[in-house]
Amino acid sequence: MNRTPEQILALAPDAASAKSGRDLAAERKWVTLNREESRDENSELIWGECQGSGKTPYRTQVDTGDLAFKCTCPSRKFPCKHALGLFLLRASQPAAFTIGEPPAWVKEWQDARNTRAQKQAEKATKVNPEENAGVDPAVSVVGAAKRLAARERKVTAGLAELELWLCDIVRQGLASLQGKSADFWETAAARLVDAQAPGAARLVRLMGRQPTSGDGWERRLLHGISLLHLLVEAYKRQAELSLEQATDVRTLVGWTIDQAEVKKHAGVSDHWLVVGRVTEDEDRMQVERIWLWGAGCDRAALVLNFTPAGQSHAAQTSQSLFVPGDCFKGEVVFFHGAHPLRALVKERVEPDAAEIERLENAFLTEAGFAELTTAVAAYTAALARNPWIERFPMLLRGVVPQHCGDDCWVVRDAANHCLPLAKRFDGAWRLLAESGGRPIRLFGEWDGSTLLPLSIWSESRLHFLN
Amino acid sequence: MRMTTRQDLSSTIHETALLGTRRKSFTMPQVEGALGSLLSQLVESDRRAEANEEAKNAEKLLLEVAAVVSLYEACGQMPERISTDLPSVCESDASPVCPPRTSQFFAQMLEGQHADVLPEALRLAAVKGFRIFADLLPALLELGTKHTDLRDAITPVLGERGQWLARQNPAWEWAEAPNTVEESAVEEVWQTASRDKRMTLLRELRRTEPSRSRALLASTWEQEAPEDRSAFLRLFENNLGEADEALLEVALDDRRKEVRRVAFDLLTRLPSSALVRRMKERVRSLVEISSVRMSKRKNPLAATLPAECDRAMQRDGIKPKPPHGIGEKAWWLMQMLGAVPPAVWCEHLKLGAPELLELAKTHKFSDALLGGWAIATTRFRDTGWAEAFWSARTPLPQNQYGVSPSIVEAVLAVLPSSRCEELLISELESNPVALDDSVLTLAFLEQFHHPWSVRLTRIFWNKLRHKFTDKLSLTGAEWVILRAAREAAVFMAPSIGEEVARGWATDERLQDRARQFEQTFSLLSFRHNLQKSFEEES
Repeated sequence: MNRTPEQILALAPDAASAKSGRDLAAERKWVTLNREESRDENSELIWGECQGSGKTPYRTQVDTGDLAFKCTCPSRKFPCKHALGLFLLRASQPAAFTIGEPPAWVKEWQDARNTRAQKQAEKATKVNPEENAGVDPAVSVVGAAKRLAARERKVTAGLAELELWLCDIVRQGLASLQGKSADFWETAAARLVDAQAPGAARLVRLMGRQPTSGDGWERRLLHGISLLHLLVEAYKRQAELSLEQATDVRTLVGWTIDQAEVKKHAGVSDHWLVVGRVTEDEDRMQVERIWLWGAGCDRAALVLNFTPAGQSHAAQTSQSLFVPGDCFKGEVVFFHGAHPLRALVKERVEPDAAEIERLENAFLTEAGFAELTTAVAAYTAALARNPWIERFPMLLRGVVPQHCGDDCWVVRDAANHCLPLAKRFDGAWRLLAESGGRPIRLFGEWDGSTLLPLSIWSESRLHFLN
Repeated sequence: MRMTTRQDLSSTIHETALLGTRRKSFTMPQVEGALGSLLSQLVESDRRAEANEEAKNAEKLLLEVAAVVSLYEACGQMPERISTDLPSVCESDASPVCPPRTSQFFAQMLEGQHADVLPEALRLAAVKGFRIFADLLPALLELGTKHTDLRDAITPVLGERGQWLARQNPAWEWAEAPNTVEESAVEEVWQTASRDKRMTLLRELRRTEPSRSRALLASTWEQEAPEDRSAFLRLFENNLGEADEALLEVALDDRRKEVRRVAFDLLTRLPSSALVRRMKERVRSLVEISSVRMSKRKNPLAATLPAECDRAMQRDGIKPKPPHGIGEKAWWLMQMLGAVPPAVWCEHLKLGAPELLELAKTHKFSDALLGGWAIATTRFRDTGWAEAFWSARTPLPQNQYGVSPSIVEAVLAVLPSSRCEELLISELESNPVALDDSVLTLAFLEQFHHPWSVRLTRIFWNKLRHKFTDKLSLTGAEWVILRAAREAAVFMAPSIGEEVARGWATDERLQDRARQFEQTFSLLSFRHNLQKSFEEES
């Protein structure tokens, strides 16, 4: 499928790369520009040599179908500015590329990718025990159980300490928290990390932001600590919970679930549209949230990518690159939970153009919520199943953005119900501009009190708002 | 026992939590309704826990109750109903939207990349009758709010959607279509509207009905704030005519200096005005050609400095206090000369402009004479004098006190751009050191804010390449040229941008030099692609 410059730029790891990429999307920056005779219209191999500051030009190559990039430049960013520039140039000046036979350095990469893909496929079909070849299975199982029990003890102790700390906060009063330095929260969080409960540590850090979050902070903070206390209590009584609820509680505390394990389960096969993407920094970790919406099942799936801060997305495979508005056919497996949202993409196939169009039309008329009352009811139902849901995906079919003075904005439906937009959302005027006073379709995250719009549809195309 | 409502319970919990259980004790009240029965379950399980000798403290109880109430409220929430009017719906746009690639370029420029190409891009879009796609409108309106000089370029490309959007934000009022004022409402708008609206109205009337605008301003002249008086009067520049003289004469007596200044500026643009006539009378006898040649060395141009700056002169806009570096009498003479059409002197002294400039160059009052004539040339748009100034290359006193225009400023203000370009081309072609030591040529290039022809662009770059061929390091003056080229890149012909950039590839040393021009080439190629993108399908 032909990528628009907007979509290509959305692949950039940061704004600086996007800017440099655009600068490099000029014919004269390239010594050579070539493409392979198209395999099909959806994907092709393009390569070029870009004169950098060094003597020898950088060799850059892009597989536009699989969204795979390679460049000889030393940049750790992925895709690098050269790859972006090459890709953008192909979109804006297709005539600048001459058809040619891939040279040795392009072939080499192709072969390496093919071999890797094969190996992965082989590995996937291999049976598990072989991984531990040479180790007596019984010994390894015992070892794992021991480690598990040790961690279980540490987590339990950590949470008990957390409970005392929370009670102490309530004894001293929330009013005393405004004077506390960041260390107050950070120390508590660090203890939980030591106790191997990183999830609980994250929640403590989130609460640490509340005392300085402006009007109504004490309400939000009390809500936060009471739910954290509820989590501690729930963890103690896991045995009384359903399996799904217990999984939610353990995940939230910080127990991770092996992704390979998740992928073993059957997923939901559907056509999935990439409807939103947010990147946030969370304690030395960059978290990318990608929201998918299933056309047939009319539900959202959340794909999370974690990158340690300072590191590029270099570790990402092409599987995890999601372009706004992309639609793919595939199987998505949800993590267990009382209200499953988080998911993994197990299988991804690009559908053909005609199918996409049919799907998009169906999507435009049917998917999502037509009324805000239904959307909020769906949220509260989810909350009843999992009280710790932080963000609820809302695809709203027909809302009008409206300015209510100062920096207060709402979206309003045909029944005159409205939801306020998040204060930190800075694209409200753009929403209004695109609506022209008419109902629009938008996707956003509802946090229980405000909506953070992530994308809108205009001229029947989806656009990310950030 | 009295039943507590949810609201009461909620505020009790918050008060207690805020103060701390250390200061305010918490006991579980009896709560009504479904929430009450939920909470009683909680109390029940606590009682069982106590039986197991697990002590429950007040803090834990408070946190548990808070969680239940908090979730109860969260789950029970409904979206609010809103009763205010819906925003008006925008009419659909008849004009086509920019082609997609052009939109991308606009997005890039609005983010700050190659932002200096925006005026050109906006002009091109307006000429083609394109409007800007809705997602970029807020950024465009913000830009116009900050940079008032771009507003006239922005309004034509806003389309219906942009006009509509501007009406939703008071800060964007400037962008609203000017002809929204009904004929019958003109008086009322003029009397009651905001300053921006009144400016827009007056500007529009000035264009279509100058006499009406004059009558309108005259009707409220006395009541206007001084800064409004000068701003409104400034609009009379457009369609200025003899009929405006009476009001301008009134303004010449204004209490505020700025208003008097505007009136003086405008009156001196009317060659037939009484002010210009009075000035002619004053100054005519001060500059003469002596009929008897005393000696060969003696300059026949005789200038007398005025003896005083009387009240009448001051009323006619002559500033008595000179800026630093010029004598006060010379200063008075310069200003008076500046307010009289320069052609007067050719007639009066029976000499052409080139001859007069030649004589003035060596005159002891050369500053006053040349400065005054340069002001007059610019003010009265005298092409003959402008050409004469350029040929004579008379150094003007401008550098010292900044009171009169430079030659380049005078030439650019008076001569049509096609003529300016001819002058530049012949300068570059005929003067072998045009870029070496002629500050004048460089200043001309820098200030020539019109699209360059392909010919001028090519000649300029050939000259530059030639100049840099043998140089290994750059002198200070050459850095100035580099900067000038970068700044002029928004006016160069972008169609030969690739040619210009490639021209450097023949020689290794040149390639090295070409890096210095990287930004310039990048801008040219951006403009080239931008211009091409307008031809693509929307």
